[in-house]
Amino acid sequence: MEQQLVIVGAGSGYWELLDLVDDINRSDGSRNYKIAGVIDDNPATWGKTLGSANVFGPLESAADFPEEVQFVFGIGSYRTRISRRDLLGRLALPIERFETLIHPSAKIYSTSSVSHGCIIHFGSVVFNHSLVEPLSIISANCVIATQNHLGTGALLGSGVITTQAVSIGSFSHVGQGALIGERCEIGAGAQIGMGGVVLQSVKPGVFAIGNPLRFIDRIEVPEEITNQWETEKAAFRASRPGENHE
Amino acid sequence: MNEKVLQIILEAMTELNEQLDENKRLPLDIETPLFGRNGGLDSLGLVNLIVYTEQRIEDTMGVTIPLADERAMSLESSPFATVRSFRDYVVLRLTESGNELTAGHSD
Repeated sequence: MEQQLVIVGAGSGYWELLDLVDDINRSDGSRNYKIAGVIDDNPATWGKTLGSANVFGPLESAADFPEEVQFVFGIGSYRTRISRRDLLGRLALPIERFETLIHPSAKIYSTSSVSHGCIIHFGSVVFNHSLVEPLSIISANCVIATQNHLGTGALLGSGVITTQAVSIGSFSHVGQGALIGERCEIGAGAQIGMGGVVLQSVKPGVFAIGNPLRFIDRIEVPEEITNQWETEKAAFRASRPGENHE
Repeated sequence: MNEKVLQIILEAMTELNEQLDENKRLPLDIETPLFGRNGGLDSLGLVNLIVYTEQRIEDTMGVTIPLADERAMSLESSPFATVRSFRDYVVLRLTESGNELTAGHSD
């Protein structure tokens, strides 16, 4: 059965999503996605055609689409990691309206779960007993180890590798090729620069980069985001009795 | 010590400038913005400046001071905003580590 999708964001990520959707459609015939449109805030794009899809806007126009249409939230970079939450608020959609797209070459182990609205690109792996909260984006060739917890809206660049029991906070961004050591926590809204080697936890809103890791900036993270991450962590711990995540 | 540390930072900036395009080079001035709002450096540029500064401190004072650890993030405002704030932070860390006399004697 055909499932219509609206892509949120007409930037460079849109074209990656077209390939992702195409690869899913070709994989085993169980999914048949059709891009019904794109919505974006830039008025210059409205009324134009991207690929085969028409661009609409602003983001509030999400409400104009029929209920059976699903959305893909493709906006996400280190610059927009915090503002993504506001953009999501403007879409005013229940979380179930966000489609999760997992590339056929990605592997999600059966004891792990990936929530609504996540995007997982080519070649990534999520090992056992991990949880990916809604609206996370995992780029190509990431390896997420066992008992990991990715918060809502977390963004991972390509080639990120984690080890056991890592936590990656809500609306944080981990740059390409970063390595995250056992039981380390990336705080909500934090940013790890590309190639960063994380061997200690990073506090909310802190920007750290390099090997050894250097802490070079800090932004204020809205309380709603830090509170949300604390709630998600508590629920994750409670769901894993007998395992020590401290 | 302020002058000595400022000199070290300006030397580190000179080394960094050699790698930057002409229009991106940092003016060798205490008020030069480094990182963040109006700052002339991106994250990798800042990390390089920090590393060059740490190396010079080690070479001239014989001490190893990590200048971009968690402590730097606990301050009210960023120590990397300008050359002046960076200088003040380096002096603070040197003073705390008991190297103010070494630094002072070398002035």
